[in-house]
Amino acid sequence: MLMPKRMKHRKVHRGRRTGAAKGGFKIDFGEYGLKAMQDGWVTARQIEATRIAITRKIKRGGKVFIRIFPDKPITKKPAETRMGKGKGAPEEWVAVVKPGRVMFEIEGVPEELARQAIELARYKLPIKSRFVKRH
Amino acid sequence: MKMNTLTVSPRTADGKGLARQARRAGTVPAVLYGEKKDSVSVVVDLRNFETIVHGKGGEHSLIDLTVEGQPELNGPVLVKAVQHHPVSDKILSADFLRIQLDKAIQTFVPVKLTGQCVGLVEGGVPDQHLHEVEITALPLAVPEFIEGDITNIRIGDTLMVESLVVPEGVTLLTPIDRPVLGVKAPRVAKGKGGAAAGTSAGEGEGEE
Repeated sequence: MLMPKRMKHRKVHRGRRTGAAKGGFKIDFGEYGLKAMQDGWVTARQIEATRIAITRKIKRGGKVFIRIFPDKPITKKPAETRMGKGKGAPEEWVAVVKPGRVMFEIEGVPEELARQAIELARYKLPIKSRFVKRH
Repeated sequence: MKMNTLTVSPRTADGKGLARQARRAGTVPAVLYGEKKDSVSVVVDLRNFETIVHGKGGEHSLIDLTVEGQPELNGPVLVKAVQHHPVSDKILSADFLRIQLDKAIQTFVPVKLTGQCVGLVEGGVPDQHLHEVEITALPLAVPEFIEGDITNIRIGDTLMVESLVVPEGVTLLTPIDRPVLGVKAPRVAKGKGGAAAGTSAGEGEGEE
């Protein structure tokens, strides 16, 4: 799974997600893509599941680009723990996604197959998304 | 490249409020500039403009522009830039650059790959680095696309810009040593994971 090699701070604030993506909203590498229509946190597991869904569908025919990286640590308190006593331990990594962000791109496959792969991949993500083509 | 025709109306006032009003009315705010003349703010019908931009010329189409009520502004233009909404991909604004038909222009032209690639038939994975190249040519000599023959590209080979078929009167500005398309060998699943294609475990065959 994707995660940073090293980090400056072990725990970070939740932050706010307002507005649309300021960059990464065009297809830059492949021919087809999966664009976020909502904001949200996409975990490293979800990114991996999406990648596997796409690569299984397109088999060995094409190339998949992952345009998001989970660089935000999310903490969680252990089960049945009373409140207080400090912030929980880092549990997982997420990528912060804003509407418009192209999260995945595909190259080297026919459009119909790319559409099918993206359709399967969309089920793995916690946010609304859609298929996009290069302009 | 074929010259499209488009009629635009002059825009009297600028500002984001009026630009948004124009978008709500089904038009796109645009600007016309170049040739050392004053820039003019215009609005263009979204439907008509979309048919041009999504047509053969793409986002660098040539247009014979007609400005309503101001015939002195009529003339050939190049679509220099098109801005899209990050979420909906709707056209937000456009830039038209005035050109002269007897003066060469610089523009981007899509690369069209032709032929049945040997490397792909052998199971290779295509990796296209360049989707469009920069050229200079007289406006009416700008081709709709630049062809690249990939028939003889085997696994491990690369099609370079210098191999593209450039029509007469067109000069490539993109460096000729840049790769357009490479065909890579398919990655083989590690260990036993390759055999378990239909199993529920995702980790084993995730190596793609």
